This record gives sequence, C-alpha cells and structure tokens, in this order.
Amino acid sequence: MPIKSTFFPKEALQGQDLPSHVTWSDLKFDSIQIHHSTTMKLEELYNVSSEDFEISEGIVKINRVQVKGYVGLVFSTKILPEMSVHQLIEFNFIQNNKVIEKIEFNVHLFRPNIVIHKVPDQIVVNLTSGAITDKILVRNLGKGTAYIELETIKESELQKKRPEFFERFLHDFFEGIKLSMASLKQSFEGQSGLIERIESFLTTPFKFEKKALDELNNLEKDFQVAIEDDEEFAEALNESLAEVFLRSNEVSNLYQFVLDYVNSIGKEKILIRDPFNVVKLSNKPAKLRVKIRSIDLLKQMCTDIELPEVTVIANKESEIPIFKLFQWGK
Amino acid sequence: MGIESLSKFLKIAKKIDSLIEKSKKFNIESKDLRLKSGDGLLEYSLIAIPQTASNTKGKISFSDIDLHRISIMSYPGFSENQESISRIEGDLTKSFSLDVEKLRTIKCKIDSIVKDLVRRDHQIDSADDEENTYWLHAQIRKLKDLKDALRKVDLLDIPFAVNVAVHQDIKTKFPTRRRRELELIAKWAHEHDRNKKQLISMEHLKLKRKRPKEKEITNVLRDLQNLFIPFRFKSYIEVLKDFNYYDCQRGADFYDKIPFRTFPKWMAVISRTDLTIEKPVSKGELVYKKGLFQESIEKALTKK
Repeated sequence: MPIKSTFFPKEALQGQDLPSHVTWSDLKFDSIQIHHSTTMKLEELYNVSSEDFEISEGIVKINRVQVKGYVGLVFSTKILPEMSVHQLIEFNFIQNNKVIEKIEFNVHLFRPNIVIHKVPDQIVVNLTSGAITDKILVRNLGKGTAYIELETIKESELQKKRPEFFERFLHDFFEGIKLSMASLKQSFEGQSGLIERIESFLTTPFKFEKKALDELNNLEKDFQVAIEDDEEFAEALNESLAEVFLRSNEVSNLYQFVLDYVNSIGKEKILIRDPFNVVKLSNKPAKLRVKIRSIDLLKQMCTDIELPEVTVIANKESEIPIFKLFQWGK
Repeated sequence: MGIESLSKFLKIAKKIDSLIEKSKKFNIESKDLRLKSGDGLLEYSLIAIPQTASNTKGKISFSDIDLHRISIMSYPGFSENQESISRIEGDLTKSFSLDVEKLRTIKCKIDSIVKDLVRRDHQIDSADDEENTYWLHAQIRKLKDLKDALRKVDLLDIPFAVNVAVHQDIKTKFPTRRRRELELIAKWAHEHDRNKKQLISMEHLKLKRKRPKEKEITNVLRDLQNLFIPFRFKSYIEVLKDFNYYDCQRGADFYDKIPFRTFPKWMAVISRTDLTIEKPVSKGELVYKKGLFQESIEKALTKK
C-alpha cells in the first residue's frame, strides 16, 4: 500500500481547527485534490510551497510537495446553524486525470445548544420545606459542553449577589493569592509574567464578554505551555492555590464548596459558573428578569438569552441560590 | 524562514559551522538537530573530522554565541571529553579547544521552539457521553527547511496537555440525599441562631437515621479526593499509538471565579510524542476510561 498514514479528526467542536495529514511512499501522481465542505477554510498547508497549490470553492489542489511522501493541512471551521453536522472530506491522488488513490474522512462537528424550554409565569418557593414549584427549564440540546453565567438585568426587582460567607472568603482568598503569588514569583522568576496574569485574573471581576474571554484564552494557552514544559512550576502553582483556598476557609465552608461543586454541574453537559450567587426573597411577590450567557469549551460565546419576566413568591424572607429556580437539563 | 526560533537557531548553527570551517583544522561531516522538549534544550551535534596534515592544536572561540553548554565526545568510544573545554569567566561555556576528537556536541537553549517547529492539536470537547476518547495530532511545520539545514532532526518528548472532563461523572454518581446532607451541614455552619442550629442538627440526625450504616460524609469526601491523586487517576487513562502517557494533574478551572479546590472538573493529562524528518507526523488517542472511573466513584461513595 503506497498510503502509509492518514489523519482527520472524527469529531470536533464547531470553531476548532482541524489538523490533517497523509503520508505515502512510492506514489507517482500529478496532483492531490482535496474536496471539503465550503464551511471549512484551509488555514495552513505544510510541505507545499506557495506556488504549488491552488484554492477554489471547496477544493484544494496541490501540484507538488516539497519533501516526498508527506502533506499536512489545517482547516478552520466556524459555528454553524446546525448544532450537529457530519461532513465528508476527500483526498484524491490524481494521475493522468484518473484517481489513483482515494481517502475519505467523515468529521462530526458539534456545539452546545442552550434553549429555554419552559418559563412559568410564577415560581413558588417554600423556604421551610425547600420545595420550588415550576422551575424554569433550561436544556442543552447540543453535544458540546456549555458554561452558563446567570445575570439579573437592571429591570429585575430581584438582583443576584454573593452570599455573606462568600464575600468574607473572597476577601481572605484575594489577600492570600497576592502573598502566595509573590512568593511563587521569587521561586520561578522565568514565569513571573504568567504568575502576575494569573493573579490579576483571579482577583479581578470577570464576565463572559469577548475581550475578557480572549484574554482568558491567551492566559490558558500560556498556562498550558507552562505546565507542559515545567512540571515543577505546575505543581507549585497548584499547591499554592490549594493552600490559599484552605487557609481562606473556615473548615465548615469546605462542605459548602463541595456542595457548590456538585451544584455547578447540570445534566446535559451544562456547567453553571457561579452557583453560590443568591437572590434575596421576601413574602412579597417580586419580579425576576434574567439573562443567560453561555460559552463553549473554545470560549466562543453563544447567543445571549433574555428570559421573560417571572414572578417569584416565597413564604418568608431568606436568600436562595439563584440557580435553584432553574432545572438544568432533563 | 518564517519561523523565528528556528531561524535564530540556524543562524547560531551557521556561525558555529563557519568558525569551525575558518579554523581550517576540521571538515564538518554531518549536522544533527535534536530537541528535548522536557528540558527545552535544542541540541546541535556535528561531526568534524580533522583535516589530514593539519595541526589540530589551538582554540576556536565561541565567545559571541549564546550557548547553553558545549560538550565534546571523542571518537571512537563516544566518551565525553570535558577537559578540552575552557570556559570564559562568569559566563556559560563560550570557547573550547579542539584537539583530536572527531565528534562534537553543542547544546543551545532556545525558548518556545516546539511551538514554532511543530503544529499541535488535540480534541477539546467530546460528543460521546458513554466513552471519551480525545484525538491527538502533531506535525512538523517546515519540513523542507529542517531537512535542507540538517541531516538529522529528532524532536523528542513533545508535550500535549489535554483537559479530560470528569465533572459529569461525579455529578451523575453523587446521590441526592448526600447533597441534602451537605446542604444541612453547610446551613448549620452558616447559622448563628442557636435554636435554628439545633433544628438543623435534628434534621441531619433524622436523615442519618434513615440509613444508619451509610458511610460518613467526611470519609466519602476523602475517598473521592484520593481518586484525583495523579498516580491513581492515571489508571483511568490510556494513551495510544504514537503518543505516550507522561503525567497528570488537576486541571485549572479559570471559568469559575474561584477554581473549586474541592474536586476538579478536569484532569490535565500530559502525553508525549516524538517527530523526526523521516516521521514528520504523529497521531494518537487518549482514552479516558469513564466507566471504570464511575465505578470507583461509586465505591468511594459507598464502600467503608
């Protein structure tokens, strides 16, 4: 067999780059023609000089490779109207206008798809028994993971806030972060720039907005390189964060954080960013107006969803985590 | 050349070649490039054979070149010959004398070389809920440039960190009654009113009486934590084909304002692969044994 190795991803998030290659030996051909969906775009081509390939709608034609036996490509993809599609990619080796080798790939491109299934006119909260009737049903109909951020808009009578214990914890946590990052910088001088960015990120408010997400993306990429190249640094960073977390906490809060961990994970691959945020209810009905922001694991923003007004009725005055007014997935 | 670091490296290599050639004492027979990603070092080896009838005494100075280390291997025997290297004071090795050795290895440190030489991609999210596999792919960007410049290129231990999602597994297995228990403990801790505290304690006791033989929640949390210790978590990971498992650690979760230090949502699994001019691509798979991990969670939740 002249074809030695082939690769195209079987599945990927919409928006992710798709790498590909074919290697061969003892194969004479006039050109390689690659047929792909027009929703993909050739991003990079390896081992082919700029004058030796042509691009037309959905086709890449390679007339010659530089070093025999290898061609590498990277296609970019984008978010599609369909939440899940299968696309075919064909590599044809052509000689004398005949296909002498044909390789086919099929890639599943998916994304999360957050939809609001049910918004009741009113939600009744029994703060004594914990019963909440008619929750807002949010579903992820797509295959991709969705990170959700809940915002109460300014017209909402009920406004989300952090609970008191969490404010206290954050104060100590931020102080601890500053100290531990300073000492980490001394031990890992080469990583001081990255440490400063991590410190700034952890101690500054952050919302799912394009600029902040781009910065987060860059920070994560650099963090990834750092943990790949320097395991000692990765371990030290992990340990310092864990230490600060434990020091900033009363032991009893640890149970709260385990609870928050469990609460932050919904069904259907929904992750809730801040499950500890609460709204303050009283025995007077109050209007709730919520906006749902979501991102996928490539930190691409999905369309914001603004929910219709809901009246929340409680039997007494108390705080309740806002996520509890929702059912996440079915 | 288009690749900044490679270009920088090749300039250094050219300078080294030219200094050796200018000495008119040696003929350069071959040049090899080897990258060890683990320590970020690019190793440049060249074989220089003494010119016949030439005097090999004297020094060749590398004082203008920023080298990490120079080592000389004598041939045959391939033993390291450090005594023929002289150092310039207060700096790394910058000059050495060439005697009768035939094989010389020069190591140069250049940052971020992997990023520039190799395109690395891996799966970010997995569509399958039952079994999780993550594809891994690496390829050399400028094969011809490397091939033209060097006889041999070994890019070794190229690292890949993949975030393996574990959140759904804990959530799926964590029973509602255990969640209720955590809620009661947390509520108790935040309550300042003694009477209300007592009521919560009673409710907790009532909940525990329903299942008197159930494992203590503190032990459940401890045993769950243990699953994320790297040497235990690695048993749920298999790295296939051109890649090898190297290490794993708790993944950073920057999405959450406070990275939840209780349990991770992701485990960062690091695998490695090698590329050469002869094999410019690597493909592989990281398999997360989800079913097995879920069984272990089940055990951590129930087994005393």
